[in-house]
Amino acid sequence: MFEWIDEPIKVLASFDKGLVTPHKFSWRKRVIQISNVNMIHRTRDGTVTCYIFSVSNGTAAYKLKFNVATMKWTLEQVYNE
Amino acid sequence: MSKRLILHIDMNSYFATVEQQANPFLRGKPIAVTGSPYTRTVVGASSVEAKKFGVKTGMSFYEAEKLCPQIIRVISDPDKYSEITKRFIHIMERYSPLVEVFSIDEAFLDITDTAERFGGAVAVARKLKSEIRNQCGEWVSCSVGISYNKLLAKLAGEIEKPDGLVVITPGNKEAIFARTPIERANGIGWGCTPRLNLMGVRTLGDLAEMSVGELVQEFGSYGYKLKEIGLGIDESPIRPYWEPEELKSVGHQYTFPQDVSDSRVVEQMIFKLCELVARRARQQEKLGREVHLWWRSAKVLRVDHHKHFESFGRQISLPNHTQDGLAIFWAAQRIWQEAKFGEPVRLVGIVLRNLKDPLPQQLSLLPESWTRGKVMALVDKINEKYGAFAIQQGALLGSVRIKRNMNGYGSDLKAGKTDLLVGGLES
Repeated sequence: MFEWIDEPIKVLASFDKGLVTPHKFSWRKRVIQISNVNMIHRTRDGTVTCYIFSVSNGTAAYKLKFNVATMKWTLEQVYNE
Repeated sequence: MSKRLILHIDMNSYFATVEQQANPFLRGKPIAVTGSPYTRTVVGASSVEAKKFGVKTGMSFYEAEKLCPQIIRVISDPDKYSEITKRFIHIMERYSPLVEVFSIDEAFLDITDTAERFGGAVAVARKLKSEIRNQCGEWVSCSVGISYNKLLAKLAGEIEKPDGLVVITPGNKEAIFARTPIERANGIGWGCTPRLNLMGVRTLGDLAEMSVGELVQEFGSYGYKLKEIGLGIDESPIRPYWEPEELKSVGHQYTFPQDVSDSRVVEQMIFKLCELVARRARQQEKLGREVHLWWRSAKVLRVDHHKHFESFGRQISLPNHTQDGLAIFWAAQRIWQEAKFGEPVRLVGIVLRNLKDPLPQQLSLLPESWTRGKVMALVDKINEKYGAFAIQQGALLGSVRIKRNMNGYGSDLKAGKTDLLVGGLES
């Protein structure tokens, strides 16, 4: 089921040739590995562009938001079976 | 005359498939994409797996759950679908600049002059399918129809789903028409189908055999259009999305989460919609003169495929063209107050018509009207930066917060549509 989180997180990501790929993130003192980036889309927060990364591993799916103005990451949503 | 080459691309179970692409745990499962559970909402899209249980677009989630108890509700994410639409439109543009965006999940492509360069129409269709999978996601698929006009290309695209590729040529058209029910053709709706059925017309082949006289007698001038559909004739050109369409009206409508009996709440929503309409008119650099207000009561008149609610509406012409929300509201308020409507209201909508360009315009002699124009421009600028209604009329404080519903998608690609809005309580 979906759970709305909206909490700041720390993300290890690579920035290469205009492509941003998140690899793992820490949330509530846990490190979560990302095995798949399933979709990336843009959204706007006023005039600021944010990127939404829909990612998953073997146990859950996550929605991560990257605000390009503040360079901050947020965990928006978790989906667990 | 040489035949045109038109492709119709139809994304399969679009919103649901995009959600399954974003979240692999939803793949292979029945899902329904809906608006917020706290608003009055319907199933906007269902996955292929949910469709097998009879879940259809437009039914309530409660109905969907009755048909398929294990169905998973996914709240719609408009930005996600718009992004994927832009992506597949961009892919199509590599094959021809003539791309017509028909809806958020459908588009036509005219490759008459470019097909040969890419190895022919079927080769283009295969390349499109493969590129859409590569760039939109492995779970995202589309059906492609190929033919020599838009009517037949769309029909071909509907025949095989999901992930189909069908070509209609002059050679196989008759055989396809002989087995295709009339309601599959674009232009024959729920209203026409039962009447045609009563005349013994069930397939497009039957329709082709009807005389124009019989059709005109039953349907008036639309009979000519029906005859053309039966013969597979459609000369309409591709209208590229980048070609500006003539804007004829600007409108917004809103469905309340619960039926509203308090006239003041309805009036406040009318005011809010007028502000939105005015803002869009200003964005499009248009002034309007005719204000049309309509509303729907909670009373159900009849039920067939949908519930039909009692509706009311009236229009007023303003003394001058305007793009001021307050002036539009005064007209709408007059309509609302004169109606003395006592029943609970389910939906309210406003349209500004009779549009014209702002210039040349006679300047007002009243200095306060110059100030008002400046204030509106400033308010638009602030709201554009900080989000809609960051700054608003005092009378709208505490009003329902509204945002664009999933049905309103693509309105940034297609102008002149009435936006559908959903809401929650303003914080």
